[in-house]
Amino acid sequence: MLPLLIPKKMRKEILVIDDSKAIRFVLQTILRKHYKVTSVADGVSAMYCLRKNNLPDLIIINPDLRDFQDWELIRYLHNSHLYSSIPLMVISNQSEEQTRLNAIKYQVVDFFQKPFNPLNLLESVDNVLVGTAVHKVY
Amino acid sequence: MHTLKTTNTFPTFKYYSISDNPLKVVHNWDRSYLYIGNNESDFTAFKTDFKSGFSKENLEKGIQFLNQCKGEQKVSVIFIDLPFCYTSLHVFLSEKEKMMELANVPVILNIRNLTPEEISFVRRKKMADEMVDFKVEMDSINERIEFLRLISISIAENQSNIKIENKPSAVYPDRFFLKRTMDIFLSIFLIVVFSPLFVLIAFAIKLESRGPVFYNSYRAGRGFKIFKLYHFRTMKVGADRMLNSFLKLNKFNNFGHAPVFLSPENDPRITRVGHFLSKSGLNKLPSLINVLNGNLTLVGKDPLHLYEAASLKNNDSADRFIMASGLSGMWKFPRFKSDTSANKENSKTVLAEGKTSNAFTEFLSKISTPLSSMQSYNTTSTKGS
Repeated sequence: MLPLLIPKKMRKEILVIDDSKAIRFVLQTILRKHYKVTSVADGVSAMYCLRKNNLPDLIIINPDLRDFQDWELIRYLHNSHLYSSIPLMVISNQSEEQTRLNAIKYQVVDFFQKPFNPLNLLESVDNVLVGTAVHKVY
Repeated sequence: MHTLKTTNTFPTFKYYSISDNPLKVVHNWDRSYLYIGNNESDFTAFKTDFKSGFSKENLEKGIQFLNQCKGEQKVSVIFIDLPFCYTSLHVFLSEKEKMMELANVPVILNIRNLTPEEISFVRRKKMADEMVDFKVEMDSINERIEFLRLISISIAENQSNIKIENKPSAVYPDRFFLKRTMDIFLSIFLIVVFSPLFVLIAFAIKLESRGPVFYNSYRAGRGFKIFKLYHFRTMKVGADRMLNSFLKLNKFNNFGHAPVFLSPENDPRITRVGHFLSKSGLNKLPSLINVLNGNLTLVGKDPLHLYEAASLKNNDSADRFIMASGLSGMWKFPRFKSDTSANKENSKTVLAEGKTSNAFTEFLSKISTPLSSMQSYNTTSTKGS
């Protein structure tokens, strides 16, 4: 059975923030079938996106960016009343203990470590945004 | 005296971020605030951090005040402590946008006055830069203000550097079309030249053992696209099943690890023709068809199996999927002698992220420096691993 395709205007929005081109490319190709994905290279352009455009329904972020290092942007997003309602997902380079501690501290929905299986990420994104079996990709 | 770091293209905000244990810091800035509301008594806690402050009762008087001090940046923060009224707030913000000196001045609302629907409304319409509880969350307010100001300053400075991607962008690396045209011409030429060989090999395979001429494997190429890679068949039909029966006989359990690389010396599954083909490298000849299709290029790293491509080890090895993988990575130098230690294929070289070490690829890379320079994404083959 084929998964249903949602019309473009009704799709949920995802914002991807990562330094490396490869991860942005992977996430764009995987997620753009069912969601509207905007990807961004650093924290400043991420803030620009958040201010100008509509708020995304999910943010996938690498905590180690060039201009916001060591979970700083995540801390800001968690503490500000404007952006704390958006669920966060983290893809990190650090060790698993560190990422787990920080993820629980900043109430991140799910975290992945590199190397990660893109299918697991797709599944958790589906769970967060839709949650029903109709839109899952097998 | 604090000075704004506006020269770096990527300023680090670490000093100004909201820290976990906010200390009360007294700064010598000549900052002043504008308070619009009725409860200024709640503000006594941090008034000492500002040099001066102004307070007005409602938004219209606030606009009048801001218009009066045009030309001087008198105010660095605006606090609004009133119940939510959309029209007056909208007018206030549009007036504030007209004044260029107040571009980096954050507007902060008091969240105590807002109902949940109003909070979500403010979030959606972006009517404020921040919403803070004036009674409880004022300890870290200095850091937050500085953070917001630096963000707006850096956005204004780096407007040209801000790039937003809505599609996967790394699909066409530099000089892609040149490389592609060369691939097409060369592959057509080589197919025409080798076509009698094709026919001969196909005959030989058909004569020796029953089954198809081609054996196809699925690999991950450029942009993680899965494609069928054509080989000549070197083993008998059903080789995978025979391999599974061998693995079942294995005494040691694999505990679900990655597939074992089992390549015994005198493999009973290989046919005689297949033996010659694999030693000489001619079983990879039909991959010229893949070059025509666009799945492969001529000079590049070898295409990975799916189970290897599924684990992105780090940024460098993931970048290889931006450029198409190549023929030269797969082509081993023809070796008819026995397997010396230099030529031996062990699991390290096979798994080593496509860096196949042999003389042929190095020779190719030397003669084709214009070709190899087109691949600007770390795809030159290196010796060793």
